[in-house]
Amino acid sequence: MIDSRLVSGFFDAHAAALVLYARQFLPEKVTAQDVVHDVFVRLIALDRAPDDPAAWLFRAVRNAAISEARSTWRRRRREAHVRDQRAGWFQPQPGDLIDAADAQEALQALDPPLREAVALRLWAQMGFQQIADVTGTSVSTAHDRYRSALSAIRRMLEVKRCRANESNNPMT
Amino acid sequence: MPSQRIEQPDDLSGEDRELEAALSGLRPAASQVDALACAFDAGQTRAARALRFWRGASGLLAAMLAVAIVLPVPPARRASSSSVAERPSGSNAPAELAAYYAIRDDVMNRGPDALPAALGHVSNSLDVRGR
Repeated sequence: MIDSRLVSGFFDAHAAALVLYARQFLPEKVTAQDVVHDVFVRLIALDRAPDDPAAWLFRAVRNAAISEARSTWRRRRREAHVRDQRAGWFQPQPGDLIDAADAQEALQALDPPLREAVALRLWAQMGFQQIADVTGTSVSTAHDRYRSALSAIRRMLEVKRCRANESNNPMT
Repeated sequence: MPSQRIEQPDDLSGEDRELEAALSGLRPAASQVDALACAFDAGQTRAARALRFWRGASGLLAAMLAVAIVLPVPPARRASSSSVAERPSGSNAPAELAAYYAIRDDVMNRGPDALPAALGHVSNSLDVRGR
């Protein structure tokens, strides 16, 4: 089994980002946490640490989450919307430059591959080569997805801001 | 990983870079995944695997033992080669060899007394049948 201090380090560094990543496939937070839990159990049971632990963890979570999503797709489709409202993806802080709920809404509106690229890039702090490894695409595809996702999020946030301004100043 | 500085794509616009910075400042919600529970489950899984192995091994040994007890023991095979050489069949054996076999058969049937007179002194010193 892998050294517990090593696993503890992986846990502190990646657990929250892994759950967030799992939620790109699994709307329910509890299910996403179960998937991450199972992946850590598998990691601990390994005889030696993977060469790139972060990539291993995110790839394992991706596979497990997709598998879980397929197996419980119908049930979750009914329940996802309600549960989504309960647990936010982010922990709002006073210094945030963007509203956490707005960001989550924009991210949820993205195509899953684009959303996945953003999650890996921004909250798993991965380079495009690692993103390509995890998602099974080329580096240029990972890069294009990320760039497209940022543009799409920016447009959505601008639309939302315009609507908010219109509703605040209906005469202008 | 979070301490690593990630490379920046060159072709992002200024607005996209601002958005990137704003988004990356958001902190993912606390995971609520319990590290100790993970470690416990991993140990339990490993122990269960070892238990399955030993159960399987002992079951196999028990089955082999049962088979060994139940199956009848095959009769012991006769030695394929006798300690006494077979007399060659046919009449093409050399005359000296034929004489030897004749003496040998006599000795085996009647004891050392069957030896020819020239070898009689041997019979006096040997008591192969305990007489």
